[in-house]
Amino acid sequence: MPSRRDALRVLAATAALPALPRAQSPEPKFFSKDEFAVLSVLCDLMIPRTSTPGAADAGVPLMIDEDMAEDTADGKILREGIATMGGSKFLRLSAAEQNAALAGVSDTEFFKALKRRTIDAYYHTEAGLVQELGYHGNVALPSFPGCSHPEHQRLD
Amino acid sequence: MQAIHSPVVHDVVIIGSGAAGGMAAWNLTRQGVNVLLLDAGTKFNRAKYWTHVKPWEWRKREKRGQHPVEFELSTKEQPYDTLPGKPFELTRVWGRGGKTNIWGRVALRYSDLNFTEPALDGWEIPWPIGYKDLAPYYDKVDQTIGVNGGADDEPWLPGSRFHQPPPNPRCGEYLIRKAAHRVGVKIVSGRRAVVTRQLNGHPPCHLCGACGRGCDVGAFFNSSDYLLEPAFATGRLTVVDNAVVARILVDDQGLASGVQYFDRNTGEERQVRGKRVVVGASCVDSTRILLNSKSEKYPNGIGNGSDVIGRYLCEQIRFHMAGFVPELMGGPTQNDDGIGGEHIYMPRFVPPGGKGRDYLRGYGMQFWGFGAQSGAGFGSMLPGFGEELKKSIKRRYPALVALHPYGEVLPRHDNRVTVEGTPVDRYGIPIARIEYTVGENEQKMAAAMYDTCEQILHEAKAEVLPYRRGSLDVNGGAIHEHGTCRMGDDPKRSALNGFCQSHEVKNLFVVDGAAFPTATEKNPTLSILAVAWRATDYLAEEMKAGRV
Repeated sequence: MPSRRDALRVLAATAALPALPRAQSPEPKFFSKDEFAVLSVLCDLMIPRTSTPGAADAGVPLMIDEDMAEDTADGKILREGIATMGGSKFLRLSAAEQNAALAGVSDTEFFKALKRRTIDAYYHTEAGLVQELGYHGNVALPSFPGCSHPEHQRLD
Repeated sequence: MQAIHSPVVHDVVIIGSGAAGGMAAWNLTRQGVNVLLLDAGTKFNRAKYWTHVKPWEWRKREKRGQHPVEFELSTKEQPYDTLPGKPFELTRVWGRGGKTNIWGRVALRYSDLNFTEPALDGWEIPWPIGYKDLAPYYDKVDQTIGVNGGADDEPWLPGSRFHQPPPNPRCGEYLIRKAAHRVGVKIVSGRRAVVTRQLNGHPPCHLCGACGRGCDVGAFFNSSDYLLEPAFATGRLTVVDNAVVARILVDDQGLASGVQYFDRNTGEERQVRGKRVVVGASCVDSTRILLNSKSEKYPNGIGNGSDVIGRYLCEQIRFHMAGFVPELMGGPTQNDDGIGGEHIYMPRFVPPGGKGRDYLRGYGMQFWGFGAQSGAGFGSMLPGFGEELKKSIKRRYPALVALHPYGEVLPRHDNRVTVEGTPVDRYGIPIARIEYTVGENEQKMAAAMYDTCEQILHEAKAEVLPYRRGSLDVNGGAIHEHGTCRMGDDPKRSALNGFCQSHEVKNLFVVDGAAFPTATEKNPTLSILAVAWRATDYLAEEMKAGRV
């Protein structure tokens, strides 16, 4: 939730983590290549591909990598968490084992940071916001239809 | 450094270009007065606003080295001081129009109950003016800036004959209104300074919902487009850009004689002379200027013989509760942008017969952020991960409702802005220190605010996101500072009369929120505009009569 002022502030704050096109070659700047490979799997465990793109499809790991270069507090937590998950050994686990391993740390600061970062990034990409959630705002309209359900509008 | 003096003596020098300074400039120039306005920044370039840049485009643009227009003044450039354990978040916009470039646009009239309440409950001083004094000015402000709203007047929220048509409410707003109604809480149509019908050349809102990034067509009131541009057209307004004011100068008679400022780019000191000075630099900055304006006659700041300037800082307490209404869960995603911000408002809630009310004053409520937003940050507050979490977020996305109550903070002697012993800024001028806490009255009120939010959400059968009862935003978060140069009838307990004129310095006026003796539960900008209009009408009359 917004910790400060009004709608405009919320807009500004929620738009703080915008997206990246998928096509670019993923060269992490903050994480090592091994760490980044684990991070990518973890992001996809958090928000997997379904009928719509998952976090890795949407370029979330690279977005997190970029942001960590500027937020060392979360960066440290994520890097240590990746090590705790076994580092690149994590990649050799089966999908079920990876899921269980992540569930096993779900009350840690690492899990919370990973979840918050993945969600913030994913739902600001076109994949997350438009394809998954169906967002179609921030466009000029001639009029605002508002609620069209009479049952919502009754006071009793 | 040698100060650069201009020999010209201006009719009026105005400090600040926001709602207060902009109104003063507009109202004086249209009455034939020549005005010099000192603005701490420059005009913002509307063509460069990111109003229609989609959320997923931001990162690409920033990678290319582009940045959105930065409205908010950085504390790195101009710090302010707080004490350990007493944080205060101060938001300042230096530049043409000030905070009206990014304000929330909620445009509520104060009720006569707001004006008379201090006299009735005896907390601090009474207002020297009432609703009848301001009503004609509210009418004129509504017609000048364009306020949309309903005809659903309430005792705590006067209506207007000049409201533009309000926008249709969103589904969630109807559902919350219905639930509130059932628990005895009245919710009305919002009142917002967003043009919904073309007005004085300002185009109507095109409903893109991105007001906070700056409006690319100026469809909500901002002082630059709505007041300063028409003032320029009179040929009587001169604006000095990047003029960071340090002090108001005083002559041998103890009258204001001009203003000392520093060029924000070069750091050069300059002085301008004026026959009258009108201060509208926003509550805290105006107070810093007044307190730094020391002289033999005014050793603790100009016009501050009463020692009230800087004291009685009052803002508003605020918190946020959010949840999901069942009727909209799993439903289609709608375009919920509307005019930006909520289309409804809860006027001051008073329990029937004052039942259980163990605090003074009260609270109102805003409801921004209903339905489809440009993000889903709430997702990290839902349990689990994986496909279930993804489904859970999508299901709740259209159903988000959010309650944001604002409670009045009492003015207290020790809640203050000072410049005593503070570090100096880059120009060598002492910065403002804000010493501010809330007390028992506010804690009790916060409990009632939580009760009301819980009742409404419970009645709506909403699934409520986790919250901690009693927690409040960091002080300053509402950006509604008042009280540090308050008006009143008693010169021992107030700095200004009811026309914002200094009791001690007859040619000095302070026309922003600093002049308000109470914070009320409401967003103050509409009232600042009305008070500044009335004050400068008085100033113009006094000038014509040769009294000032």
